[in-house]
Amino acid sequence: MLTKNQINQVQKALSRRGVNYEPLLEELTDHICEQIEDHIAEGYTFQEALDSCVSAHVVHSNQRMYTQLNPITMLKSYFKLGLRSLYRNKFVTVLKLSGLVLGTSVFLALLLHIYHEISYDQFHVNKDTIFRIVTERPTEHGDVSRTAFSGAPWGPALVKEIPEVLNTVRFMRYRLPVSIRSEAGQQFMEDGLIWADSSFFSLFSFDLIKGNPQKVLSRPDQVVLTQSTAQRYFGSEDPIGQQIIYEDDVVLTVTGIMKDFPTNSHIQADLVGSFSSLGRSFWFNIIDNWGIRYYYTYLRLQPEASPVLVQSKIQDILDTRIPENNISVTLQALTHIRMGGNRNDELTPNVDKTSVTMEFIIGLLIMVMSIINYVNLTSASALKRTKEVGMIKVMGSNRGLIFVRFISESFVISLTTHFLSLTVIYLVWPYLNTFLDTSLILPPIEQISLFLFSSIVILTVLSGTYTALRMSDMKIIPSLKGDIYRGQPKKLLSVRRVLLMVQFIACIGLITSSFIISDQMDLFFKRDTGFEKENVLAIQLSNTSEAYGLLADLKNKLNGIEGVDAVALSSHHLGGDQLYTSSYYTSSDSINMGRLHIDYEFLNVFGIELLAGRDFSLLNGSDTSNFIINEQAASLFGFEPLSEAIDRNLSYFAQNEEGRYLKQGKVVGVVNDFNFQSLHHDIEPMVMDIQPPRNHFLSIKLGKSEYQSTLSKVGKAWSKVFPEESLNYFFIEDSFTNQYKTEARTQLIVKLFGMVSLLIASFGLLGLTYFDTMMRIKEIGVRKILGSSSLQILRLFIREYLLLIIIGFGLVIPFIIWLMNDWLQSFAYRIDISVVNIIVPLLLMVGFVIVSTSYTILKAARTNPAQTLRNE
Amino acid sequence: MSKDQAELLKGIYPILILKLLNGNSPMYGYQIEKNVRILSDDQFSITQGSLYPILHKLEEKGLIKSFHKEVNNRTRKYYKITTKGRKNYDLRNTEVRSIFDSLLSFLNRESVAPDL
Repeated sequence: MLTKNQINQVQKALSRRGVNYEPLLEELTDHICEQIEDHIAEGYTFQEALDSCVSAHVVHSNQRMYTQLNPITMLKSYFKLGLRSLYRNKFVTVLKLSGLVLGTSVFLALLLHIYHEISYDQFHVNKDTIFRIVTERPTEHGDVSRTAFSGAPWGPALVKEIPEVLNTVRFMRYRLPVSIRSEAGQQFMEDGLIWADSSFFSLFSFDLIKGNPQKVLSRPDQVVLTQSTAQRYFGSEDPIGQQIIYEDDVVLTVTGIMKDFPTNSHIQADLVGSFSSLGRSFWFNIIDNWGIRYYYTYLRLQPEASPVLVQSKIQDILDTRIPENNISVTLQALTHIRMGGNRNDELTPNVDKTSVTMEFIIGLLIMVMSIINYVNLTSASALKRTKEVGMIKVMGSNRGLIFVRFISESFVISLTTHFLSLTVIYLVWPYLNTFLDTSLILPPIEQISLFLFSSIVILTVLSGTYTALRMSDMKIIPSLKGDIYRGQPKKLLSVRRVLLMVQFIACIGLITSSFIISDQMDLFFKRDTGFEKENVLAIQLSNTSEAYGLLADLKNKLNGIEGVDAVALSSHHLGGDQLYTSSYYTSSDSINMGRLHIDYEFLNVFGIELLAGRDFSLLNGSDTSNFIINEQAASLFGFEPLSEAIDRNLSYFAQNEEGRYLKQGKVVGVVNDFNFQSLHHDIEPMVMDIQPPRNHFLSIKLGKSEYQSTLSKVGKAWSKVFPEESLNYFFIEDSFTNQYKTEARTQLIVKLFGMVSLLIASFGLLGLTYFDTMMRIKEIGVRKILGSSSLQILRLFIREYLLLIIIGFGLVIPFIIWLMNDWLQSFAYRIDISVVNIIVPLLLMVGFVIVSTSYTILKAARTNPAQTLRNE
Repeated sequence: MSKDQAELLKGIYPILILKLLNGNSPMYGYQIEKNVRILSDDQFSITQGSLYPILHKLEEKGLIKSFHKEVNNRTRKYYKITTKGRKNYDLRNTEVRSIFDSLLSFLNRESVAPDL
């Protein structure tokens, strides 16, 4: 006699083979069981008997059916049916598609951006054997300063001394834009000029269109232009052999034209000058100095060489040559530079690996949300189609075919979604590039096709399987009667509710994060930086020496303009510039500090407060060698109280065209700490003195009225003094804000994603409420008859959603707080996460649920019960 | 059994089933199938695909009647013949016999040319 379990197995085997009509199933089960019992009596095992009985008899019919079907015709008909059923349920189809298209577009756009980031520097043929030397050095206050810079003489020495190093290339880029003048006299301010060794085109795989790669940079005073720069300078003329003038001083000959640098290269430039020009035509005395780190050095190693071993050899060489500098080197793989952490002095800004990962997670989250939406809506709308399924089954369809039927619908949706999403991406492509401030590199077409194919399949499977399985599993008779849920207990956490809760969790998470990120950004924009940045105009001065003689004249002219409050010169501009550093001596001890060169008006222009002593004064002749320090510097020197600092001796080694000399003087004033750099950094100790040849910026404090006319007067004064030079000015406040470009973009992205997720969730909620209400329309009618008001019914329905929000909220908030606290750690100045940032998103979600569900529910609740109950 | 044979026999399955139920106590599907096979020395074999549709059709016509019984942990459906069924069986019995007689005499004829 067979056990109950074995009988179940028989039944399942039959169902699998398409026997779904229950009365027949019952009889056939008994039939096969009897046969099996006979077989067992003859010595078969149960499994053998089952296999032989079921396959011997039942399969025939189905096999015949499958072999007689034309699969292509069948799929075609399913495809058509899929389209027809989507067309019939227009409201739901639009809801489903909007959510999916939104989610997929965002996800695809993010993937394209991530691909762009990952593809950085991958196009170099020798990418696996090229490394960059980067350096680290401990600072006085216990940190480590990490820079992308290395020394100029290092590379050539390493090629000679380390056999594994095959080749090297060095770059230098001056920190400020430089002046380039065409032969015709037109001036261009260029910040994309790099000076590179002649090995540049053999080591890297940049495309040289004209010129010999071995020779274009082999001699001093040669320059290679990118295509667009050549176009800018010479138009349609042939640029080869033409001359341009660097800083009105050095004549460079154009020897080559290269393609513009690919946007996924961390090396970016408009002009590449020959490195051998340095030290010969300008930049004297310092090019052979091992201790000055102001260059980028790339090494190409032998393929089998161990980078770790080479790195330790380089370290040994440096320890011998410049033991006092305490520098440690690291070899950084070329392809790791883009996401290689935040070093100072990068050629182009890096991206954070975490933020790329975050981007992927957010994209995935939004995609998952939209899939959940789709699954929820489909499974809810499928409930209206149980009769259809029952009918198909009665007509002889089996589980497999029903599954294929529902999966085909998902396939149609998935295909349409991808098509629409690609259209959306195509349409927003220019805006996307503007927003990301780059030109995104697309993956090769084979990769795109393969990805789209798998993406369509994955989306079909993910979105369709659940509903297709459920529908194919349905019993015929209850499905025909439309009461497949009768008698089933109402579960608190059904699949649909869990999915809805996951959406709420993602929503709350994204909104809370965007609130916190916004607050942190506001801190940046609103925090007192210790100096006045409003209405200060900064002009970058050209490097030409004769300019300095004319500056006094310009200052006088500017001071005479009504609406100009004050004018000052300085070596750096506030907000976005990086200070020089020097070792300062009080007695025998030296401390490394920031160095800023200013003039007599600087403190006045920026409203920097003097805490002790006095400002520099023209009346005091010796002030050219005196110093003003900030609070940090005073405390590092141990001057307490601050007045102790006044008249103390201070000295450091300065550099002029004749070489190094000791500059000695007294501290005359102490100023309050102000944020020279962005708020990512702590305020560093800083020493200010007067060195007119090092002044590169002119800052003008404007009065509050008559902005435009003052600006044009400034322009006129400038062109009177420097008729040949164009005026390059910017506002300090803008430049300060620009330092938070990444954060502002993050803020915008998170806000945008918060909105997108809310939108997707709203589509889902709208659809679910619609179905829920349709399914319970009679319940609503009965409740109304029994005396419920519309509001009471609304409350009853909404209570369920609110419960889900609260559970989701409880689950996600601790994680978000942890995550955000971790993120905030990267800022020197950060906010505390306030309760408001947590409660407001919750209230927002609640409000949003009420708004998006009320309309449908209230509409149903206001319907006359006589209509809804007419058929009972 | 060849395909032609199966085709030929399709029409006579109902009468085999009615015959079995006429002489015996109620029977269930498998039992009917097995008995047909044994009693015909494996000459006749009704597949499930034919058996159950025939049973259901006979029941629909009121010639047989079914009832359920719990046996060996499963529900078994028994069929028994009704009075109408018995009458129908007798009728069919006579009909089949006369058809077969005519068929045999036709097939046994030596000359197949018509007597004109």
